[in-house]
Amino acid sequence: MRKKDSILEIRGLKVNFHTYRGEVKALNGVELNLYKREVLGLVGESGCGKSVTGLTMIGLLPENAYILGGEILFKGENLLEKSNEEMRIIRARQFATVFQDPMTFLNPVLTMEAQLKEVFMLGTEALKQAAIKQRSLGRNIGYSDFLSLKEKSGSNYTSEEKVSKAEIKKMAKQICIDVLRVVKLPDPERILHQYPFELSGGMRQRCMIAMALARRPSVFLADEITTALDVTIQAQVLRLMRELRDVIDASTLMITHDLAVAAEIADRIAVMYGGNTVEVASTREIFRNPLHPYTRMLMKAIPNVADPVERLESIPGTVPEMINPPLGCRFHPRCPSVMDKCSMEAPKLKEIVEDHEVGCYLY
Amino acid sequence: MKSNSLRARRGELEAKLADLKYTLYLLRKNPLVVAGSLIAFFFIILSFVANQIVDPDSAIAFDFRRSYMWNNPIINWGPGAAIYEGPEFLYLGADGYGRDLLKMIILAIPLDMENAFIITVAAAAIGVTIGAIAGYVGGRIDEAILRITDIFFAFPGLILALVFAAILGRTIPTLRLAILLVWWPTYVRLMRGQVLSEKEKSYVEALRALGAGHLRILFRHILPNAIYPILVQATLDFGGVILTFSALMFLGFSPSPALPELGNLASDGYFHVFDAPWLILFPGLTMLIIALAFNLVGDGLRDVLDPRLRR
Repeated sequence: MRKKDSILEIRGLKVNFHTYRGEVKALNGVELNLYKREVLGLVGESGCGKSVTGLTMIGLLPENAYILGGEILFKGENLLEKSNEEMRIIRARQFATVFQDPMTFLNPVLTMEAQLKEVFMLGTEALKQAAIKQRSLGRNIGYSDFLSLKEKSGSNYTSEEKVSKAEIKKMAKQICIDVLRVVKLPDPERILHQYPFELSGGMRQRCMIAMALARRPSVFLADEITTALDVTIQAQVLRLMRELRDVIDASTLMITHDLAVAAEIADRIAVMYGGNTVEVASTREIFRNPLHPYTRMLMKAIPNVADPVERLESIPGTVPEMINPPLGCRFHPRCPSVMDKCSMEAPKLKEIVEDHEVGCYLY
Repeated sequence: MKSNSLRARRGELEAKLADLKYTLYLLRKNPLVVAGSLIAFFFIILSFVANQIVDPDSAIAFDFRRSYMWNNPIINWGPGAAIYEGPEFLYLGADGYGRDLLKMIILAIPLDMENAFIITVAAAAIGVTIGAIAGYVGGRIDEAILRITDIFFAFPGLILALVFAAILGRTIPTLRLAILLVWWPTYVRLMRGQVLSEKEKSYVEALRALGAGHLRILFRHILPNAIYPILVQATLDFGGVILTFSALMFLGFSPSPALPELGNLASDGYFHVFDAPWLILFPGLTMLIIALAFNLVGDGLRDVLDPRLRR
């Protein structure tokens, strides 16, 4: 993959949590680069800091967390220096997040129409432009046209044409229906009149994705979106996400603990362990040529259907305790090729092959 | 496209019909709620047409010859020897001013219902707003608001209402204000608890991730989730407010002793419990029936309103 401009850079991010039992050192210098229009899979086991990285990015860390250091550069600006209100506007205009559990992330007492339309109605200016465009085109416009209007709205585009409120509302509904079609929901008119609890898990997750799309985001953060779904629905949602890659003009950060899911749709994969990114490479490269000992052992632990073995390899030891993590490289107590240096100082990410970075003293 | 939207519209109609059917089913399942709503509905209608049924001037037409008389087709009863042999029957007897008690009760209903409506709606509105802010903002503001409500809860409601009524004076608006001042803290407590539990739910987090502002999250998303217990409480309080207002009147805060108001009518019979018991019985029964009816409605209201329980 050729070099592209990055839209989001995370550099040396350190986050701690206050708890009754002590300081949980959740992130210990995370390094990430999200390029424009790519899908980056962030994989790691439970508690390694994947979701915390995502939450820090959108500025929604819980109250007992505090950021020790590092920076998050989004389009050249450091997000960690923004005020709450500035972050809110960035979340509203640039980021879109889909969370893990579709059962609880929709408001239970409002119909889908109310919830979806609201997201569109937040930006009436965009709807106004859409309505004007529809007039000039003379046909009903859909979500893709709405999306293409985004670039124009940047250049202080004001219009003299008057658009009535009723027309804007009609426009919102029309695009609502179309965006539900984009996420492949059958019979969108009926779904708009239903409440979230009347929809199945997969349908709700699609609705969540539709709401996220409605923001026309630059960065799409998918936090374990397939975890709560059963396998067939997982496959459908993943296929949808892959198709959306071509529709929306956004970079996606896909957080998952399932290597297969990441392999399915990600361009590049970043492996996290104990609050560090230990290896970042393109999907193909990381499966063909895993360099970090942790990634290697992870690959060995995946069952192979073609060549079943009696007993799967497992990584010895347990996930490090994050309150008193091991000094130096956090993987060293479990590492087969541990050196003296490993327990002294944590290794930095180094680019070994082109587009393949590893944080390990072996290289 | 056209047939599509047509189908959608028919689907909508069917859904509404099914909705209605389900409401009827819910009601059939619970006959007490039906009875309560019918009675409540009857009193609401009555409060609108009372002045057409009964001439309001009859409240100031005193006929002392008939005071404390009960002349109906079955019995003719009065204190002492005086028995009224007039042309009209007093089905529920006459009060001390010789007015027909039935007419006075009918005339009293609009005033009492209006009071109850204004006071519950205002108390709920104030309580919900303050409680929502307390629950959502939290911290010191929450603490301050809660301590203020604690002060109000420290006194028995009626006593506090009496104090406010004594300070503010004896007109109907000031009496309403007095009861309102006692009533709003309940809603603050209720709403705060609801908001506290709702704001931790994940849909709020999803909203924040979408970049929604605080006002939008609180009033557009949390409020509809939190409002059902408030509605039920308000309906239950409807009867309670009527009782409290009548109690104030009964205890002598009435602007005029001849004002047709349920508590006022009852207080007229206070010294004649033994020789003219109807005078205290029938206004009291009316209060009881109204309060009971609205309590029954409140019980059933939640089943009917909450969309989560509906479908």
